Amino acid sequence: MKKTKVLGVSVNDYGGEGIPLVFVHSFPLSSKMWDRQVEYFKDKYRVITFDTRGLGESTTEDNVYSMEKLVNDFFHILNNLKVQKVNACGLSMGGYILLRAILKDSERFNSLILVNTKTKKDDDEVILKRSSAVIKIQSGGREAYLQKLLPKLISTDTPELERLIKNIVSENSDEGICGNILALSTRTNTTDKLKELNIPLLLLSGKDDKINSDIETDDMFRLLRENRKHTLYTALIKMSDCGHLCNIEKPEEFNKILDWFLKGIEISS
Amino acid sequence: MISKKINGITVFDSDNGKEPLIFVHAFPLNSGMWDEQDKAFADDYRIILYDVRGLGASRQSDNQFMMEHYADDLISIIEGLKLEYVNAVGLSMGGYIIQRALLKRKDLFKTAVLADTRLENDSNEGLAVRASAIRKILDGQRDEFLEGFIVNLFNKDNYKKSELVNKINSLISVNTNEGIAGAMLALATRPDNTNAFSETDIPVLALVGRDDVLTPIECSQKIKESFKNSEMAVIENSGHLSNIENPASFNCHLKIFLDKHR
Repeated sequence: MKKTKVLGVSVNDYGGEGIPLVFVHSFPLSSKMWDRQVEYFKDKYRVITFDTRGLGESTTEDNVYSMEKLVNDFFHILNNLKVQKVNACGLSMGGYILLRAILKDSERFNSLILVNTKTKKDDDEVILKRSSAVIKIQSGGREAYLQKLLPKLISTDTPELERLIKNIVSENSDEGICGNILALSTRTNTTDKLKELNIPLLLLSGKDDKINSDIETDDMFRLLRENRKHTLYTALIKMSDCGHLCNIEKPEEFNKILDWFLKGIEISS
Repeated sequence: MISKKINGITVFDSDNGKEPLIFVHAFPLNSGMWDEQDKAFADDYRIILYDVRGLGASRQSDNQFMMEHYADDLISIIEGLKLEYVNAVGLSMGGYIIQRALLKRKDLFKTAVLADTRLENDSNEGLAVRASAIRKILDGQRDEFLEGFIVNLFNKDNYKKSELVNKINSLISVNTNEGIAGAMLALATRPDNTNAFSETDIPVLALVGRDDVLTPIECSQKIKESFKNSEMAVIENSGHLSNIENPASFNCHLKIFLDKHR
């Protein structure tokens, strides 16, 4: 694996041939959440992961940025690695980043896998929740905030998984976490453009997701089915007994679904 | 004016025992934008001015804030000065701040003047503009950003008056890049107040420059319609910075309104 820094963003390139498979992580974790996917896919594809600005090893001095900055980072990474097209998988915040990125330049995508994410921007209730989170963290309430958030990321009480998630999050600084909350609050609405995408799309949702209701994914799928050409590969898969972090909670099932999708688009292309 | 620090915010307080009148400034300026109002109302009111978190003399080491931080700051200033209530005047960003604080603590506001501001939050396009502005400011293109921004603050004639443009430039010049970018991000995180005020019954005055292109007259009309007990006045020969471009008219409307509710 080759580690590089692109404008302060830490990138892991596991090497290999063909169209790379890029994973974009969710809030407030880091690229480490993809360990089981890296292990499974690194011999099949050129796997690339990275830590979004402010999190993981992408600590930056300046933690004032909007969603657009995270999207631009994504393109800088592709350019730096001299990668033209990718298959990209994003979970939650990772999905938001990819949805914005594909609207800016769809030519860079061979296929898109969106997991527990949505095209709608934050409503007022969510914005206010986000601001109270930032205020809480800044006034020393980080632990209390995380103690409430982290158990919601998986569907059942599984101490082993909770520990794993906690360990990943514990490496992130308060400023990095707040920086990403601020960025999340500046998301635009991408609903209208979703239906115009003309690449294969896989939508995945955890049926017991407590953060992002699976209804959001259903809505996206309905929009796609009503508007896209039938010849375009579009799939919706719901993972049962699974919460927000599907890839951590059900790694074998998650990997098989991705594998099936990626093979499917290879055959059809 | 006595300068005080309240929760890291620099507050200027005339502390004369009269009826309190607090002013909240616009982006990316500071409390110095209220000079003409300070002069006109100092004899009759206790004038309170402050620099919004991250700007002017309220510089911070960490510039991560959202609109709610700003609203909480205003509330903590009013409480910190042990005021029962205030009359509050905010222009543009100052108007957003007062709106949010008003929704949180209606009891602290006797009247509110919302000048050259709006109820809605940023649209997709607005958010994209802010994102590119933040990038410019932090990537060493602050002057380029400001040049494009300041043109839109004034109406065409006033933009030709170098003393006005110089004043604005000098107010902005004390602000750091990080403070300006932080304020920009806070603006992008404000909720939508379109239908938030149907139950708010305090007297509200909406003021707007005739030629305001950033928050045009329609925005103030919506404010007037949104509040139960509200009125609206248009300031002639003025763009977005109506209190600076036409202080005589701004102060006149403000005085009539305040006198009515005193």
